[in-house]
Amino acid sequence: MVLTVTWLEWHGADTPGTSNGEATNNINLGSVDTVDITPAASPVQAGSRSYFKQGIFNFSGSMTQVDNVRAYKSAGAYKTDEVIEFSGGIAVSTPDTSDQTWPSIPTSEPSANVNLPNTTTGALLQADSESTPGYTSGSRTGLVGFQLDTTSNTETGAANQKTISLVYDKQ
Amino acid sequence: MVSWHAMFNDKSRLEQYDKDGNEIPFGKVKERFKDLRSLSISQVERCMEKFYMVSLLDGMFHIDGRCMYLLDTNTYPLKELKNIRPIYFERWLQDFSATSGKPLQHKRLFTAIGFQCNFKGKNVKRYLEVYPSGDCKVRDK
Repeated sequence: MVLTVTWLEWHGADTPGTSNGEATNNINLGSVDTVDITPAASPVQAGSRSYFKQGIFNFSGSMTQVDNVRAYKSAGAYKTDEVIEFSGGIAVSTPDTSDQTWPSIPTSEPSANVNLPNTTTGALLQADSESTPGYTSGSRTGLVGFQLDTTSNTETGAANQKTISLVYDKQ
Repeated sequence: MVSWHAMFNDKSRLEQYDKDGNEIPFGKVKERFKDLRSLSISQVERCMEKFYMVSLLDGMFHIDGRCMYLLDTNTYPLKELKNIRPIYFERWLQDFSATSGKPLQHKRLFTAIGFQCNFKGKNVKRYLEVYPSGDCKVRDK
């Protein structure tokens, strides 16, 4: 069976473990702390950072195991000094625009860089699906973070469209 | 369309889909890894079915009707291969937009089938990456 992979986010005081999070259509980064940001309406000014996004990748559907999960930027050229920063394992906090000191997201397929909750085996099992607060029938990665960084050298105007790829192995 | 098929030492079989079309989790095979005799996948591409099998008895591959060892049997004598275990997984790609739009493509990159074993204290593996086109590559890492 083909799994469905979705990205779920938490914003403001809404934190993982206390609520279901919000379903999304994209991972757009911008100057507001909300879901499905329209970049043109909430642009990141040159020299600023976006609000960081905290969320999880959710795997729905029948499977025995998912492992070797890797996230990277597969398409979309950066402007000068523009970079998307990424961490595959973060602590719960309230999104803001402060520097999270995460490394730049890889631009080619890396080794596994997304934490999975089953730390004994590094694999995500169907049994790891969460029934409380009960928003999904699937299993999910650990908490993941994205943030866009620019400097005063970054050209003004719209950024190029970028694609974040998630590669995983399924049994 | 790709599906796996497992044969066990007692000649019993397990298929990914039962006669009613219900999917059997691969975990049912993993529960019987020690009794696994062979593991295979079939892939239907443009109405043509291709078949890839690995024997867990000696590490021989059957690739669309042709039998071959992917380990050099002079370097790795079959009698000295210990603890042969199957390798099987599907590698998938899901794209997300980070600047606009909705989730992008979600596709199977390849299905991996093969084995790993112990040889003189080292772990050795050989597996095929079987692509949706029907092409395959041999991997050892």
